[in-house]
Amino acid sequence: MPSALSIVLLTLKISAAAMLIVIPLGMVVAWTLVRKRVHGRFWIEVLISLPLALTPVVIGFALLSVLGRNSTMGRFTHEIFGWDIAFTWVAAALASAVVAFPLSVRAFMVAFAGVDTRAELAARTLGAGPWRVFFTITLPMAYPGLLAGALLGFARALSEFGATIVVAGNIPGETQTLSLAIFNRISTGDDAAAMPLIVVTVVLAAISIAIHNHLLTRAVRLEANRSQREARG
Amino acid sequence: MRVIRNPFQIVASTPTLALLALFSAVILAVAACASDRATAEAPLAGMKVTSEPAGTVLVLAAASLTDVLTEAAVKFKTETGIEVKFSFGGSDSLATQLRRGAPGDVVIFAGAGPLDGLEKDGIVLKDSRRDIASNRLVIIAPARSGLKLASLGEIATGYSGRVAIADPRLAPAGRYAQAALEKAGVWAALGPRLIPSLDVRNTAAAVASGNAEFGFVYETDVAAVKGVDVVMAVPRDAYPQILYPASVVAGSEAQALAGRFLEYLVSQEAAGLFGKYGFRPPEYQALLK
Repeated sequence: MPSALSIVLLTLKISAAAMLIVIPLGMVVAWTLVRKRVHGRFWIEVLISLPLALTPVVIGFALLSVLGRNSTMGRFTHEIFGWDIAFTWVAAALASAVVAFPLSVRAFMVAFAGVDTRAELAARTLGAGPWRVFFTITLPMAYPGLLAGALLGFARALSEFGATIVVAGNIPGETQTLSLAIFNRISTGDDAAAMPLIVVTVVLAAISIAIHNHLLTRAVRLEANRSQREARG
Repeated sequence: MRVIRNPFQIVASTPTLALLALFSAVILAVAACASDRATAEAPLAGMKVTSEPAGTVLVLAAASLTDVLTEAAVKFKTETGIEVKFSFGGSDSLATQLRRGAPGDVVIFAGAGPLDGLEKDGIVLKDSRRDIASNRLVIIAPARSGLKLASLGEIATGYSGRVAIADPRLAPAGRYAQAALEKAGVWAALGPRLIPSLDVRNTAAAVASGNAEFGFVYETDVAAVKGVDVVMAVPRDAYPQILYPASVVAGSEAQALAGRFLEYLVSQEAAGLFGKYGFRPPEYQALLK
């Protein structure tokens, strides 16, 4: 049985990998939805929010249908590269990413919506290109909200269970994250061995939420300062 | 321009820095402490390259077998050098995963039902099937409750409290309990008093917490559960034999190694191990001896 520490390390690795997918993709999606006129945006938002409403088991089986050996993609990676994505930590990271995605995107959208478009426009009139505007105006101004959204997604990824056990299995040392290890130990009656893992989970959650809250109050304070200064002219 | 702001200005406040530092410190500390072990157990290794390590078998196994199989795999590796990895879950769920293209070389289930289905569809090799252990059904009551049972029928005639069983639609344990209660002729009468639950562990929890008067669980579960007493073994002729069958997966690329692991699981040495964890040998084996 892997040690508690190696389980924590594996869980952090899988959650971090999930956020590497969620953060760039989520920012693109959130920015597009906030700043651009998108056809069928309602249905896009429904699609993005589905992982919040659906039971993760459904997401797990959907991913398994895409990545498993019976699928075109699964057969391709298996026969060309000798890889199986299903039942590896990569599959666990993908499952966590899908489930964490809506939470992060929602927060990203709020963060981008809070950025004053006049500032972006002003930069454009001074000759900055769209990328420069994004990186020097939009990103710095939305920063606390974006980081808060990323942390919220990270916390969700840490606790992912339902989709992971279906598409990545429950392999000790490979895909058995904190949640899966706790489940396995409790379902085999080993409550004592589950306790340290539960404590670790609580600590990780507390740290994530503390940072998240701090960034949110910071964002609110920045916003208040800005409107004050604007009122003063 | 007041709107252009250095991003680091925002994070550079002392409390944020302190929190971020704490967070990174925790992660680093965990990483540092775990690194020796981590390299030994290689959770950081990349995607599994199926063809590379000559000697890895992936077993999809019923969660109730976690402890005994983990120990068996360690012994098997020291004897043969073949590494066995497990993915533990509910038998019915594991069977569905395999149908959907999950990789796996061996399946080991609680109860014959899920494996019969896979066999019929050619997903596992029929000839490779071995029964590796069996289990018994017992009735438990809250510890020190003083409840006594002389027969199954007495649950209906002598008591009026709730009765916890695993849901027959969700878990094999529930189907065995239903069979036993039907045989005793009290299934219909007990209907409104039943608490169906997800699995045997939930059944035991319902009894241990005092929410149910009696519960039907596997003999091997009792040792792991605190707060319950066995009040009666369900008569062996009241339900079908509870077998743990194993098979090699038809699509496996490590069939030879998988077969060797199955042979090990039916060996004398493995039988001793199963006995240690409270499992019984399959009954026909007992008859042969």
